[in-house]
Amino acid sequence: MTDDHSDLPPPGVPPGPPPPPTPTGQISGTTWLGFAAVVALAVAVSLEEDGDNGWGRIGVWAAFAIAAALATLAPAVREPLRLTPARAAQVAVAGGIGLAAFWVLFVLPVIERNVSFLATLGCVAGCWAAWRAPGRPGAAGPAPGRRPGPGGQAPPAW
Amino acid sequence: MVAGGPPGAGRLLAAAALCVVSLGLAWGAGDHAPGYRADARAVLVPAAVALAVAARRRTAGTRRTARVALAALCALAVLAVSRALPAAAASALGAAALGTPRVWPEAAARAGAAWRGALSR
Repeated sequence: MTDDHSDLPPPGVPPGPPPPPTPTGQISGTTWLGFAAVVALAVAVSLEEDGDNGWGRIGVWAAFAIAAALATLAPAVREPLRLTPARAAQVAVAGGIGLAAFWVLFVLPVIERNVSFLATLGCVAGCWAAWRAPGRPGAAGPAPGRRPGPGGQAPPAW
Repeated sequence: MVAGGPPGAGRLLAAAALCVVSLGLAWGAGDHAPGYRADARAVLVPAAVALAVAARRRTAGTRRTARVALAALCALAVLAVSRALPAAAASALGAAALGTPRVWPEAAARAGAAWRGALSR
């Protein structure tokens, strides 16, 4: 969701420890979620139900959904694409927002269909991958530099 | 208050739940289509998500998003009244009324003063 400058560390506060890196050669859970989103959505728009499939019904929007799911994989492929961690997280969040919009506009009205269940699972996986994207503020523990309140949790801003 | 949650989290979660319940009510203009098929879903689903997130994460960004969601719910209530759908209007107004005192206390105070003024007249 939306985070603004209130998550940035105040001036003079030293940044916290960076998130632990994923061991080389090991695929993170976030990557698996993004991969599951791509597969689930590709299958959901390709399976035929009631004499038609997603490519016939919504055409380009089906491709949009798959592209949005692919965008949630950006943190996993940021090095070949030369993306900074923050930029990769932004791309993943944009993919998650695209998946949410796709679900509201095209999946929810036909939620009783079997392929809609699969598409819903894909959208949930993609949005979860975007939510957990490394580099996104608040993705893993408190934001760097945020001072915890009593009990170890940051105090509510409002 | 929700156990372990910030103050007012229960109200915001109840408002989000009311948005989800509204998806089952009639929202369509002529055909009385359910909310999950009508155009109102474009507001109800994001509003439910925004209010649920605001119940747990209290940042300036989540507050701004929740305020937009509450304003959109009020607009949706007007739309429901114009379509002669009292249940849908009541649910949208109810969700807005549940969330406003926590998210937008100034607007809640103004609405309360206006209501008291109308009653005293």
